[in-house]
Amino acid sequence: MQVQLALSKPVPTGLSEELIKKSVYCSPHLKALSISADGATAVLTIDREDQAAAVSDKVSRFIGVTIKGYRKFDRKVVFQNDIAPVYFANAWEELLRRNWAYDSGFGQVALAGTGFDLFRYFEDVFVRMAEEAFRARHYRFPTLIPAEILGRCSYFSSFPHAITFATHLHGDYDVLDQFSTANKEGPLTFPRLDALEAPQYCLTPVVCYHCYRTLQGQHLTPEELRVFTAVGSCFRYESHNTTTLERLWDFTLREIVFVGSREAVKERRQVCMDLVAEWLKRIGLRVTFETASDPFFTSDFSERTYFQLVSDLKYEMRVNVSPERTIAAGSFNLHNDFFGKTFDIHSGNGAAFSSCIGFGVERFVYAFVCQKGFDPAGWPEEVQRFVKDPS
Amino acid sequence: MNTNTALSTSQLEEDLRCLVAETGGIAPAFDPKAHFYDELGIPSVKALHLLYALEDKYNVHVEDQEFIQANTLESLRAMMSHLLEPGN
Repeated sequence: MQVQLALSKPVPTGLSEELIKKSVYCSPHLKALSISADGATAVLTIDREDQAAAVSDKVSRFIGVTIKGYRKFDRKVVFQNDIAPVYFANAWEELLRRNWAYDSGFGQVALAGTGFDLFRYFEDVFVRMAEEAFRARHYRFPTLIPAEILGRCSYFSSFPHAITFATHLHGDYDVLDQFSTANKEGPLTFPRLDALEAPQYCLTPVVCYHCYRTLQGQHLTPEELRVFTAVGSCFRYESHNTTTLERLWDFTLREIVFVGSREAVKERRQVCMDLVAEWLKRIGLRVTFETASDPFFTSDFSERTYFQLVSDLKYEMRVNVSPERTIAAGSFNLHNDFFGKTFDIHSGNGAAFSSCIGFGVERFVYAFVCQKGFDPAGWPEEVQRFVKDPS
Repeated sequence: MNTNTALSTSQLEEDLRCLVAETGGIAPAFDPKAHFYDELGIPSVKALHLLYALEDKYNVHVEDQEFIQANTLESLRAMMSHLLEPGN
């Protein structure tokens, strides 16, 4: 059924897309949301009539809180590789047909053959950049991260919708015996609701938090700059927005992380932006670097978004997957001294500053085939060199 | 065009000091050269509140980029002083 909701305050121009994307977290009974062009009305598609009032109330509160105090601020484009690729329309289906990718479950994808060769190419580019341009130190971090660390980094309050908790059964003979008996066959069953421990760990949503943790309590000299690089599986729950290789629950994130003085981390971010721009021009991917904000799901959305956008704290690498649509395949981020203060890291006489560059490897693979197609003979020579399995 | 009558520099700075302290949740006796967010500990989420408070109090439109660069009391006073000049 459809419900028309007259909004007490109209949705500001440019915010509808953000609201629609986040509306998947309002209620499992909300199947779609659209907002009228004038922003005055929301149209809700709800799967159960008896839930209409409750869902409408949630959506109304969600929209009200999100638009409260919103100040429109246009995104700034700082780089554009303005070329016109010939797009491949059904890239996801073609990846599956060629067995370059396998659907491994909700928000999970396996890569194989030339699909994996592309993954290795992108990883090689990022690793070489970290090593050659920044002399980064390599790290390998766990997939689990203590909930206490995410809490300290304000992850729980900023991104509650994206968290993936890790837990286990109670170490209790009766709990384990009942669970084992109930699961001798068939789908997963929990015979007792209290069988699970309260989670103390999560699946990590980012790589860089692990880096700051290694510097806990350290004092860097004013000239000292620590440079990390690491790759890991990261986890962000995306609900109904999960799709193809472009929005996964379980994805691969390569990061280059800088910790030091304000000037040094900002300068390294700019150097990295220039290097990535040069590389993307060389291989001929249509891309735009523009200011962006994180997907905050908080009552102070307007305040956080405004400060991030107006301060140029985040630039996204938005790569086209069609003439009209782009995906954020990576980002260049400044955190000011947030992590320096959070982890008690000093640079000279004050808190250390940090910046990080993140590359979503699967998204690069996806955008690449959308723009370059599936015949390696037509790909740039530096990409072709990675093709071991032309099947 | 703003409708404010001319304020002396010291009066404007004192008014702004009170506004920053109240909006940012800090004591009013702070260094006019200190960075609001990095040194005085004003949470960055308060920036938007400060911007709206300035626009409301002085009945002017403040450009976002100028506002975010005016991150000390001294620079904020200079920016507002310019904005409040007759003819602006």
